Amino acid sequence: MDDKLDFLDILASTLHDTKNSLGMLSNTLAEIIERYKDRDDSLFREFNMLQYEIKRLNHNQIRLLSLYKAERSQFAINIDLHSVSECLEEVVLQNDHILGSKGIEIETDCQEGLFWAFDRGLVSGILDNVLNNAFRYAKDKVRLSVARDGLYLAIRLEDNGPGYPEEMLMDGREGSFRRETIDFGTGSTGLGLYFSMLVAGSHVNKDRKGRITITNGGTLGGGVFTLYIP
Amino acid sequence: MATAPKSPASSQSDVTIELKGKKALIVEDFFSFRNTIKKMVKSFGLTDIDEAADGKEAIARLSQKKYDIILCDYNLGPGKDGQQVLEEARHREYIDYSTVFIMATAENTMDMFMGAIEYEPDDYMVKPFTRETLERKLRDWVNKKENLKDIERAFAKKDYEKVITLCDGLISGNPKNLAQLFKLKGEALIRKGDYPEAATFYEKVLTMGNMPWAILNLGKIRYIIGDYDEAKAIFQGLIAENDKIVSAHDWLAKVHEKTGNTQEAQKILQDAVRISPKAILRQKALGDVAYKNKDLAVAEQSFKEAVKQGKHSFFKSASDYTSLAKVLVDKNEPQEGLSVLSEAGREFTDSTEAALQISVTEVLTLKKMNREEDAKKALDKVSKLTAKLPGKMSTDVELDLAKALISSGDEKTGNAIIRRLVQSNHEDLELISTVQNVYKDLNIGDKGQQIIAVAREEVITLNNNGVRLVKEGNFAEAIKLFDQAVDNLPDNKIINANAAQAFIVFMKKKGRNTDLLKKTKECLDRVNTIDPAYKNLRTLMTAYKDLSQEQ
Repeated sequence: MDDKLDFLDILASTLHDTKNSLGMLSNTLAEIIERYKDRDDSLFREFNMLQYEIKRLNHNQIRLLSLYKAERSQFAINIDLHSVSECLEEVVLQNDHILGSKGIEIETDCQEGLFWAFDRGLVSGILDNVLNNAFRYAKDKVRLSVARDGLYLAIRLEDNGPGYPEEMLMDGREGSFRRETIDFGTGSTGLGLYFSMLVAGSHVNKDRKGRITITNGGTLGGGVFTLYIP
Repeated sequence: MATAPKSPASSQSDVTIELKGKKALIVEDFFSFRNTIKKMVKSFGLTDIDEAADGKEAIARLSQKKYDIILCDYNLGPGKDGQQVLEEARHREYIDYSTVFIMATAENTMDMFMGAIEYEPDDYMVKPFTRETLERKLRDWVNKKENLKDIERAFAKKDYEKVITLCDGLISGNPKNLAQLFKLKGEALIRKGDYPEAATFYEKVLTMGNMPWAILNLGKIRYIIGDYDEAKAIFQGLIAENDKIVSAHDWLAKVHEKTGNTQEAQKILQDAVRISPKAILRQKALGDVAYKNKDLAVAEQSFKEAVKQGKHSFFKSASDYTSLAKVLVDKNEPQEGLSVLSEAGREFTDSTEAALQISVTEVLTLKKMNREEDAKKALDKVSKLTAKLPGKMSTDVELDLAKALISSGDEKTGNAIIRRLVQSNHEDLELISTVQNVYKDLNIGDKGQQIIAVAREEVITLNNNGVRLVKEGNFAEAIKLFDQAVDNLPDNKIINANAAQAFIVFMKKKGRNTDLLKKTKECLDRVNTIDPAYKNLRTLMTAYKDLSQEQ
């Protein structure tokens, strides 16, 4: 048989299918959680734990599908002017049930009436992912803040967890990504950061390019993730 | 600057927005998903919720009821996709700017639908989404759209001045739908024909961020006013930054076609089709330019694709089929051409214009096959249809009709059609060259050249005489001349504009008169319909306005 299917295409369509199932799982679970929301017992927390894992899986699928599209040169970025506070509120809303079930509080600091040009879907996707990770790493506090940094918009996510492991930090080298941090043993593939970098970098305004940085410290003493959009 | 930590309760600050009475349509092919979404929407207090399992059903629903909210999945299985549902619904005016249209997609990245704002959904949502996210989105959008109702009405009445005033009022309050208001204002400025003002506006918008739609519109304005070099540079720059913006390819191709570079136009459209093949209008444009370039293989493929995509698209037209048939005839496959035409006949049963276009192409095809008897029968059908045609024919159909008539021996009627076309567009070099090719194809190139030259000369002389009479101050004669000229050539923009100018100059000197004011308005309206970017149309319109408002 000559018409052998391309493995990448098979992978992509399988991912699509899996994503549909995940969507069903997530929605059904949300209905169950809704029913249990007044019970402060371990079951409620376990359901939220499940929801966190489903979201993680979903982020992985989105990332893989997007990278597949990038591979096939179909990756498109759709920049428009958006209310920054509205975008952040949406991301917070997607996460505060899950984080709240573990007693993690989300604080936001964003000026109302601030508009910026970016791809809302992609940027929310990155922030949603980083915020979802906070479920695992933050102790009890996350802070999402926005500031203008010269000609860039800096969206920062800080937590009061143990911070990023030393070997993942970028030694201040902007935009660089250390492949060696991919570690299948610990489950930290660093793919999330790689994808964030790709998205940040696809935001271009004149001679300025978007980027991300990760450091430790900040106002809460834990990990600090910053996305710069020109 | 710090605000209090946002809890979900405080982030629902738009509780004043009542979703309860809103009418919603959910378009989703998977039953279980559709059900889940319906349950979600129900929980927001909505009671009037309809469902559709595919694009066809969606359009049927939309045709019967005005919805406030439409949640549509992009991927709807075989048949129309979500984008095609949106395009058709907008074209048929089933939905308007104040309708909330949200497109659900499977992943973050997808084709960019950038062009006229009416083809864009208000928002995308990546599946799966939570109940809270959906509720938030719906409340936000219903809230945002609340302020668009008046703008909508003004747009419908073509009162662009009012659209602009309303937009300005809202923009100063920094509302959340700022980007949409910017787009609407820009659109109104362009439709009003105020191109310099529109360009200044988009440049100002661009100081707030690098939005491709603003750059694209700047290029469009350059194109409309005929500044092709600048337009070309803008579209090329846009493509260099992000080659997925296919509309920039489409416009760049148009620039190349206008400047006579059809080879380059074809190359660019071929790129665009590779990036985004699912766009029937692009396939047609590629087919047309490839046919001009005599690249029959590409033309055939593009028109075939257009015919195929047309099965589910609002943009399908008889010309997809007749163009394909013409290509097949040129490829020496007239039999194939005939079967495409009979397929078209079955596809377009209720449009006289379509039937006419198909029959005209049939005549030409049968002639090529030397089937004189059948050609004659087809021509009889053509004359019957022409008599029945309610409106005007498109230029392309008229040219084909003239060609069919002349080749069947009725030179008189055929030449008369061409004469009128040339006289209505005597400075349109693209059309003139197409007409010349028609005569060349009929092997009467020289004779044709003469017919064209005489027809053009007549209009030029007529126009010059009128302008001279005005200059000499012989208004009575000038008005008589132009009055008659616009009666004979209502589709000639130059004659109409110069007539309006003569009327205005006369009234400025001798005072207004109701009859002439009315005639001036008619002339200017015609120019505006034919070519809203006509060079001194705005000046004339202002002069007319001043005159008509004088006490």
